[in-house]
Amino acid sequence: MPINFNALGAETPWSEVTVTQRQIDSLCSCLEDYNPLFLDEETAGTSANGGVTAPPTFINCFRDYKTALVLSEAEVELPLLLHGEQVIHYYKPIKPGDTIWHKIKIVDAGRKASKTYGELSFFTVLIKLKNSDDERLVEATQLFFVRDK
Amino acid sequence: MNDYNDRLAAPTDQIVPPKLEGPYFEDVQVGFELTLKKPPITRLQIAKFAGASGDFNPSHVDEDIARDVGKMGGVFAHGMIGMGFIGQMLTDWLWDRPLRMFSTRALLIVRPGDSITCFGKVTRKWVEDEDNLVEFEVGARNQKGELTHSGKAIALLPHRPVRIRDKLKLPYLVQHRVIG
Repeated sequence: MPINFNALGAETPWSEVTVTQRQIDSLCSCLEDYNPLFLDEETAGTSANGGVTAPPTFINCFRDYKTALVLSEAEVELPLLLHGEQVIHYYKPIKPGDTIWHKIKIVDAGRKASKTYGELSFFTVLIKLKNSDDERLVEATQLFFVRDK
Repeated sequence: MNDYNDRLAAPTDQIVPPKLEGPYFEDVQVGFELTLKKPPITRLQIAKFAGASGDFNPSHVDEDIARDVGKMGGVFAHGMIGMGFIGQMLTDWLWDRPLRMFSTRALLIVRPGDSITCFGKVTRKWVEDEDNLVEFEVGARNQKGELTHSGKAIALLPHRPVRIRDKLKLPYLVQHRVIG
């Protein structure tokens, strides 16, 4: 088995990060998404959000300890890892300057069949982002497959 | 040119013109469609995504490991890049209207040189508690027409404020204060 199923339930500590415009720029630049709502305070300031907000997939930029969780706890060989599915729920917008707390937990693990790769291992992580007032901002589950050697 | 275009060296043909506001609930009907065609994915784009996300899995950035250890025939794009493209299609149209949920399933590997076209279609609109919600089926196809991503998104759209149309403001209704 290319995954340690005892990793089920393992989680990272809460990690604090201050969101910067530079982080948002980096994501927008590689996606070639030049929507001024993510990049320009003047335009975004006139929108319903009242300022710049992060793009919908910004949660992928929060991964403190995630590699440690995947490598040390799940014992996954990264080249065998495939991203399967991601579900994101939004509660409040994320803005530059926000102080955010995030953590990642392995909430499911096992074996399942894949059309392309046959039976393989999988694990699901839950990523939570909250603000300093303990309010939920964004939460996501990510399903990963790990191919057999 | 806005300074962010200089900051990110945005190609002039990809600059998104500002909108005054996003769409209203009553303007959207089931069957309404969105699409976004992206330029071919480059290795530089994949490397930049690795930097932006912190995901340096060698499957995406190291040709030798992706080919010899991963047995994937070479590097391929992060599944989240495709999701990012679909998100771009949604937010280009939604503008400042918020997403409530967004999901994608990565179905097929996307390699450098592949051209992705995103699509979305309204499949349902309904009111839940005080929220007006619109559901999209979303996805992406490569240049061969093969489905690379599939998913769903739910957005929250306001209705325009209620107002009495001028032609309904008949004198007798105003006089009798039926219309306030």
